[in-house]
Amino acid sequence: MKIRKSPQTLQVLAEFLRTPKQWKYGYDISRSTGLKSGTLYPILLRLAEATLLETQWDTSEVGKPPRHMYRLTPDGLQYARELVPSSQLSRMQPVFHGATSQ
Amino acid sequence: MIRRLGSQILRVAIRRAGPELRGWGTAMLNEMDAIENDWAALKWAIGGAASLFRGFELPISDVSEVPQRLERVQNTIRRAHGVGYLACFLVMAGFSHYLVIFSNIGERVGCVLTILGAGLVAVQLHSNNARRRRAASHGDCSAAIDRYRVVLEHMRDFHHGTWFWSRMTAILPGPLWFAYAVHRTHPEPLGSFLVGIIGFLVFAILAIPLNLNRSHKFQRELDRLDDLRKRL
Repeated sequence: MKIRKSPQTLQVLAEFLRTPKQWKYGYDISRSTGLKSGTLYPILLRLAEATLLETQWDTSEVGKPPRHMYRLTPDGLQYARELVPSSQLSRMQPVFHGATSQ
Repeated sequence: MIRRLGSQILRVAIRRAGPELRGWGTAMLNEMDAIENDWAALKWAIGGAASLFRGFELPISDVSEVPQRLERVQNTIRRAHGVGYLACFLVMAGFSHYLVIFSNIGERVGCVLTILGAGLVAVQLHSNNARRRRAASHGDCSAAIDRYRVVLEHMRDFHHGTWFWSRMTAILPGPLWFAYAVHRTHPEPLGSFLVGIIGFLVFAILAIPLNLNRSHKFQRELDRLDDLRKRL
């Protein structure tokens, strides 16, 4: 499995590992990891291409555009557990930029 | 207003992106509704748009990516230099024409300075190309990783230091002198003269951070490449 093991990728994987079964939105991941959209989305794309991440459009909110959601696949979960050191998981604190998600 | 500007920027980037990235662009766009702060939404949009324009490229993290990146950067440089040559040619042709039709000495000096400035840029583009090709075909640089390093070094140098500032020094005086001379010879409302001058200066000032930023970008890639080499 060929995926960049950059510190940012590890941050994203660690964020997914915090609540592995939960679907997450891009902006929420960005706030938790402190990664900007221009860094985060290429990482999500690479993870999805490697089938480590599953994606889905959330159309539940009427009158609002559908939001893209992400969750680790079983392979992704295993990969993340192998790759992300447990110390990083416990160290991770949410990062907020003064803006809040609705 | 700010938020709308952000979504417009992102929309343009989505339209220009390849089909494989449009869905991801839309995902970023639709997230903007979840961002309450307008400035944060604008930052989000600009970051996403810039990433889309770059084709979602991530920093290098493995030496196996080097050949592909080398080819991509060579293509980008070739395209950029092509645009540069064309711009120089158009400026030189235009001001050569003015040189013939204007009889005032001040205007003609402005034309000559502008032609010389554009000529220097063309010479720089040519010598940078030649320097890059010479180094890339040198025996010591047979490996893609070394060639990539040489290309990155040359591009870093092209966008800062002597290369960049000599280019700026050569480009600036000609058009300014020319505009001043034209204004003196053919008095027109001061407003349009100032708009032209200020527009040119803004363009010139913007070129400084853009070039230095590009130079830093190449340096960052060089640093990452060196890190990877150490780990080999």
